Amino acid sequence: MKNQTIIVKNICKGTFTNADGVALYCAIVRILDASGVVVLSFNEIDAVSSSFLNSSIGNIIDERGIDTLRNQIKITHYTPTLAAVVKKYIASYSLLVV
Amino acid sequence: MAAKIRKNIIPKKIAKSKTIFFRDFDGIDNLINWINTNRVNSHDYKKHLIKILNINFSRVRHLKPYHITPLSCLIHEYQSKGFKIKVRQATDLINGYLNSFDFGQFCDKKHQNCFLPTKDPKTFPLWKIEENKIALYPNEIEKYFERNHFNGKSLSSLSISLAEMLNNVFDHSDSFIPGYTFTQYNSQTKSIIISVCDFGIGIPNKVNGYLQSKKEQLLSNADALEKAFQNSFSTKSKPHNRGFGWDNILSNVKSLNGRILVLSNNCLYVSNQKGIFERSVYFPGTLVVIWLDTRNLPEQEEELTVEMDLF
Repeated sequence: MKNQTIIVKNICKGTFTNADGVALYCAIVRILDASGVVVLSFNEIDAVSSSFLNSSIGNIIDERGIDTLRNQIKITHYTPTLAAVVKKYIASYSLLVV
Repeated sequence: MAAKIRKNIIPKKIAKSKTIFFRDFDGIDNLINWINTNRVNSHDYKKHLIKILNINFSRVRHLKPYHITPLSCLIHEYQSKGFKIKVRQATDLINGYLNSFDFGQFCDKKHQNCFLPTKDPKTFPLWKIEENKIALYPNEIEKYFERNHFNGKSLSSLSISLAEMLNNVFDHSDSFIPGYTFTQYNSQTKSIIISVCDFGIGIPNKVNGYLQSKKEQLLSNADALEKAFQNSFSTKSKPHNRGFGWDNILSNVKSLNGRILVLSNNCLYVSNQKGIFERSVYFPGTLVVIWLDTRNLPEQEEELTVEMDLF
């Protein structure tokens, strides 16, 4: 499967609203539908809200399951704190949907 | 002719505009009572025919962000009914404070609701919560304070907490008027004070409304507020809500050894006091105040470029 990078700041005005989360979700889905591996670049982003994650990664989990996240989505250009926030979100949300 | 003469003779007491006195509040109940007493829905249109509201500041010695945001909501209510707002008899100190973030322009409805720098670099502009700018506001405030005071430090806790609070107002408050937010750095106490206020339904009412719709047992207001803070509980006001916002806010505040106050309906939560307290007075919405201790701000982090799995 081919890796394709999404530079989040180029897709989204910010990383705090569900509208921006939806924009990211759409970009992710395009790659997933083409059987690609998504690499999310959080270059110059140090914070994301739960609304943003709900409408992007949360929707991916809802529609395609945890395994899609595990096998087809990675992150790059992240601060350790941001990575921790995203991982914590996924861990919490995974418990809800299991 | 008789009708013309009658029209020109208006008794002075009816012609008077309304004056309300803002003041120092020695407790939160006094602030709540003042708000409830002076909202536009208590306006006597027969007594005060002219739609001018004078806000007299002669009894005020100090103002904080948590005074400004509920006052802004109150002012907005009057403006939405066609009232003009006048600031009266503020001392030089209070005038200076109000001018530092163009409060007068807000009262005159000339407020641009943008991110232009204020006259005081410790103050970020008073802002009406608008959906189309929630994406930008938290980043702007983060950059503003990092640039002016905390170069090399990370203020991501500030931007995340603010984003969650603004989204809460927009998603859940059901308010007829916008909410307001105001943030200021207190260089003496080394704390950033963030205040977000709305005159909406209130969190306990919202939670119990949701439980009622699910035919579940209703809770006391205090228990309902506590439930709202639970991770993964959501009233699902909007389809994308999942219940993680409050956990983000509370854990961010805790990580910086900060404090948070949540006043909603008749409930008060203060993070350094155990429990949620039910008051005898009702706040007409929700007021959230966060104090972030800037001495605990972490350093800005380097970005890591190694690809990482999410599990």
